[in-house]
Amino acid sequence: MSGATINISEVIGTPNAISQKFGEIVYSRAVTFIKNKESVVFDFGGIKNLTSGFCNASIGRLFLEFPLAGNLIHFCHLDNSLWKEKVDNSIHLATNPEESKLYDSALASLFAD
Amino acid sequence: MAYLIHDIENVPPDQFESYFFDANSWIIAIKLSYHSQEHPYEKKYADFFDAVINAASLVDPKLIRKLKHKPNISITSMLMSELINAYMRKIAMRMWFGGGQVYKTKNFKEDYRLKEDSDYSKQLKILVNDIISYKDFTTVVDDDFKKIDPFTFIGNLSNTCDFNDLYYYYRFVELKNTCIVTDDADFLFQDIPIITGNPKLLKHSDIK
Repeated sequence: MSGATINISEVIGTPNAISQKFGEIVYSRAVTFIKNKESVVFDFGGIKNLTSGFCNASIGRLFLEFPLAGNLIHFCHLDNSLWKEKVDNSIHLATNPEESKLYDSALASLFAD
Repeated sequence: MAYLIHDIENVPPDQFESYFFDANSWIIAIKLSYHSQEHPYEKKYADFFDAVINAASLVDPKLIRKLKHKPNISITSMLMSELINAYMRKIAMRMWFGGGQVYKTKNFKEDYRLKEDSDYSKQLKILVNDIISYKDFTTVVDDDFKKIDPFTFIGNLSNTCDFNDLYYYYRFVELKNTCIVTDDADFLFQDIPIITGNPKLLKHSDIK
């Protein structure tokens, strides 16, 4: 099966995977392969910081839009256990839309307090 | 004296040297899933935070030269306390108990924080790691509580202004270069730049 390895730090030009925009850049790089049912390996080598927001905007969004993404997306150099948790959380939220909705509603309620 | 209140949708991220996002804005900014289109109001804060981080992350000298300021994000000890407490009590605990209002009937310490099978430790570690991820783009502001003169300061507390809001006002009004980002309608102070999407604050703005 053809596909691509996406080195995140090279694609976003920084070791800080900490913004929604950077997540969208990674999403855009990967989405064509996923649409064509080609595999994508996300390489976390060189990353210094990784946030939940980045994971939601990149990996989470791919899982949200493509139900078969789980068969096509793989990771390497994802050795940090907390980063692994963040990636898993983003996948969990994307594949559980009701929970995601409750989560965002809980966040929105902060402004209503 | 003037209300220097800016609409969050109209402020370029390089307009001010430093931004102080209040605790709720921080939480929205770093935790909104972006999966739903149902929260465009809250997303404005997440987008603005993101824009500030992106401007702060620039490394290309040509791009940096185009900025009015290369911004950073100001934090204080009280902010960090508010941020962690609010997220763990109002979001993490709420989600642990199903995401609805059930969490309000539970005891934070006994039913969540100290409960062995809860996800408290995991959620705390992720939150803390998320916050630490922004370290390179933040400026730590000392509390300077002594300088603020707390015994004069608390005399100004009222039913519309809580201690933390008043403290932030006193602390940042003297710094001149820091803009407060908040959705809190109570944060109505003069002569300090404020960025908000809240129409209750924006209607007072003296900026034309």
